[in-house]
Amino acid sequence: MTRKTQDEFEQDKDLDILHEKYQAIATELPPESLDADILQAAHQAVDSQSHISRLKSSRRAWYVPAAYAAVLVLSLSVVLKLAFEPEYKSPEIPETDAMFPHEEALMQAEKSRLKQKLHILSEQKNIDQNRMLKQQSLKQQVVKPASQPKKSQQKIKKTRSHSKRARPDMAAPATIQSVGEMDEKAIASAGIKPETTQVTDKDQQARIKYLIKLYDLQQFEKLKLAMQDYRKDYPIGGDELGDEIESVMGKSESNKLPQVLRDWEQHNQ
Amino acid sequence: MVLTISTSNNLADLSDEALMLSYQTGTAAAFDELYARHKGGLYRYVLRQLNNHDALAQEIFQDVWMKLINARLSYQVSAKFSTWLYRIAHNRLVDHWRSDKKIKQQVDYDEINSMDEDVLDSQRESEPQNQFQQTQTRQKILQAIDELPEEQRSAILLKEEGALSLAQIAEVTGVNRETVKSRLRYGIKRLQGILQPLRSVL
Repeated sequence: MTRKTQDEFEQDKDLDILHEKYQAIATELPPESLDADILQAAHQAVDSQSHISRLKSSRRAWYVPAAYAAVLVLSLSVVLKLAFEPEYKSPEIPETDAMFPHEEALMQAEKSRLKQKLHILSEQKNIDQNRMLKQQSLKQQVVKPASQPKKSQQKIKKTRSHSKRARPDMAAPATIQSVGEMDEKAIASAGIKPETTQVTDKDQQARIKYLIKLYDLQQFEKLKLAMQDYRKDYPIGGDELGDEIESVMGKSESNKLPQVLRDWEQHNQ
Repeated sequence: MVLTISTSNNLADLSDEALMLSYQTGTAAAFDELYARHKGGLYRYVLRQLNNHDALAQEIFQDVWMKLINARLSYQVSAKFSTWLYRIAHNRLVDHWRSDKKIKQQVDYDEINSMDEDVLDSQRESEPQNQFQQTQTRQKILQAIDELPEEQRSAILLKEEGALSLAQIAEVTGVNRETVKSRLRYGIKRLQGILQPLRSVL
């Protein structure tokens, strides 16, 4: 607690004196006419307020129910309309290929080409494996003439005659020098191309398979396109080589276009 | 009649804030009661602030009450009613001073004094000695209050007429409590010249 100074005591005392003296002299009041004016204004304000509220309530007496009724009628009409209106059918939108037939055909062709390539790649792997197995089996047949002398000799002779028939300009070897040399000759005479050309053969086989598949699925439009594409790389007349391979390695490894497809191609050219 | 009396008794028991809320809801009698309670203090506050200029004081006093009547619907009990009332009055006075670019009238007190002396001489003859002294004291106090700077006078009048606390005066005048305190202190100090001789009387 801080103690009050002498000055503060005196000030408090002066305040008390002032209060007492001032209250004694403060007797002025507003004139009665002014009082009356102010009170009248206050009463009028209240009256007008109540009058406005009465007006509001009297207005509310008819327009509020009317508004409710209008809202009810409108909402009912909307509900009924929704309930009895026939189901809306959106106009049929023409499909994309119908709208843009040319673009769609191009896209389909591109798709089929891509699919074809993918298919070729997957088939290539299997064909490689089969070919390797075949080569190995062929080598074994050449290396072991003693066990099956007649069959192998006949096969080699047959191969040679085939090679002569296919390529008359090539001179046939007079004698087989070694197993390795004989091996190479046998492979060459069997129509197996070197490593670089093997890819083309595999590709051709895969494409033939694809053509067969299209034929089986009766997708003739695609077949036509694929056939044209095929003929760009393998023109007509190359099927003789396929015949030779078929005779040596079996039907599955043949590069020959099946007769059915050839007929179809001829028919559809 | 009985009902009316009991109603008026009830109103007299109500606080200012309750009366104002009652008036807000449409009870005109509540305003009568409020007006009766505050008309004197407010009128004198305005009158003193305007250097006892009667006509101007009445005009502004009426304006203050009209403002209160018009603002009744927005009234909320966030402060004491008297604080609200005196804030309206204070703002109205400030507006008046600003709009009129009020140059405080330099009252020629010598003239008033000489005039007062004449009046006093005439009164001295008619009034008894005690009554004459009272009149003289009143004149001196009012004169001293008039001489105070506006802020100090306002603080003293709000305390005396509105019976407001320091915090309420601070709220009305828009300053902090300490400022109000110092204004009161300086105001009293200025009045000491007049109050000093009165001490002996007390």
